[in-house]
Amino acid sequence: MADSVVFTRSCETVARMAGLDLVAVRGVVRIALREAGLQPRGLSVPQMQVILRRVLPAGLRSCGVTDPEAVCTALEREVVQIEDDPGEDAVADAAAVFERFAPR
Amino acid sequence: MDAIAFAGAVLAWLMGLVVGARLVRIAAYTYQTPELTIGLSYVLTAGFGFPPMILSAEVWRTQRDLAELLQVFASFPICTGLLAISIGVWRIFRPTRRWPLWVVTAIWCGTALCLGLALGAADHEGFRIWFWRAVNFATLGWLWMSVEAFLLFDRLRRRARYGLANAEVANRVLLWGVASVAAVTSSLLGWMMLDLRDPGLLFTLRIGQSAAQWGCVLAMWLAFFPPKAYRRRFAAPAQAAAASGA
Repeated sequence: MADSVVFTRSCETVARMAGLDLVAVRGVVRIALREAGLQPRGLSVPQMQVILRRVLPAGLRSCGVTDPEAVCTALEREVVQIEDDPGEDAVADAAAVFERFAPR
Repeated sequence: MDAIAFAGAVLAWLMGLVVGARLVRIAAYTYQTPELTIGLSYVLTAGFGFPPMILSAEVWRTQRDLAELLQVFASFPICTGLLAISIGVWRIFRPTRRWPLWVVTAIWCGTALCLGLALGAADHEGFRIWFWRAVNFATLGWLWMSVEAFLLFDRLRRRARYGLANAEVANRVLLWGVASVAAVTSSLLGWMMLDLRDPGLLFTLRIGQSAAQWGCVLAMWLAFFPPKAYRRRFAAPAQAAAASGA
């Protein structure tokens, strides 16, 4: 299954802004997503916004980016313009089943 | 000790019946496979399977024919219920994947084969060996459930830290995994105790089985009927995550 549009466009933008190799950026972003329990497939715009604000700056700093917060802030302005079409989020779908089991 | 063990077994039976009935009731208005299969599994296994199995274990050494008859009676609801679990696991955790169908098929075929060999066995010993193989095969569905539940809990726990998932739901998934492991443990220990003669070892395993049953009951109670004080633990972090702009 293909990665979401949000993931692909975000990686390309970070690679361009930070001057890093695209493959390396994809790895850093994947690690950030994993830290937050997310995956490239099924990644939505609101989820990516959280990653940009709270997780990715530390990952970019470890890659030698001098001002990762600025990169992430600039990226967030672009991410919110993306038409959100995350596709299947298996974790959220499974959680929805357990949500239905909630006590009344 | 016997009273505590008996109480644990009775509570496990009642909890399974109540939770199963509740899930079937939910399925009646959601028309969704997960709650239907899991609910039926609990009703069949706990409601119709546990009582004759518990009685069979009590009379196994003194009235072998009666014990075997009780096991035959219990085998169909228990095995059918445990097999329903494997379908529920597939539909909850891997609904768009095809490989779980092979796992479900293998569990079903293995269980049916062992049960057929049990019912066609020439003597008590043959019946007992193949019957418990059938139950243990079907219990693989519970083991699969626990693995998937713990994997899902890890993802949800990470998401909840950033306000991307409901922490209470994550906890419910964890409790489900714990209950599944406890159910598998209880079943395996019951099988191990059948042939034991050493009273010390038998006593130890009985304590272990009782602890597993009480653990299962506690986990299911907290998952389905959590007290308000328990639920409040998740409300405060959720508000904090929302306030941090997640």
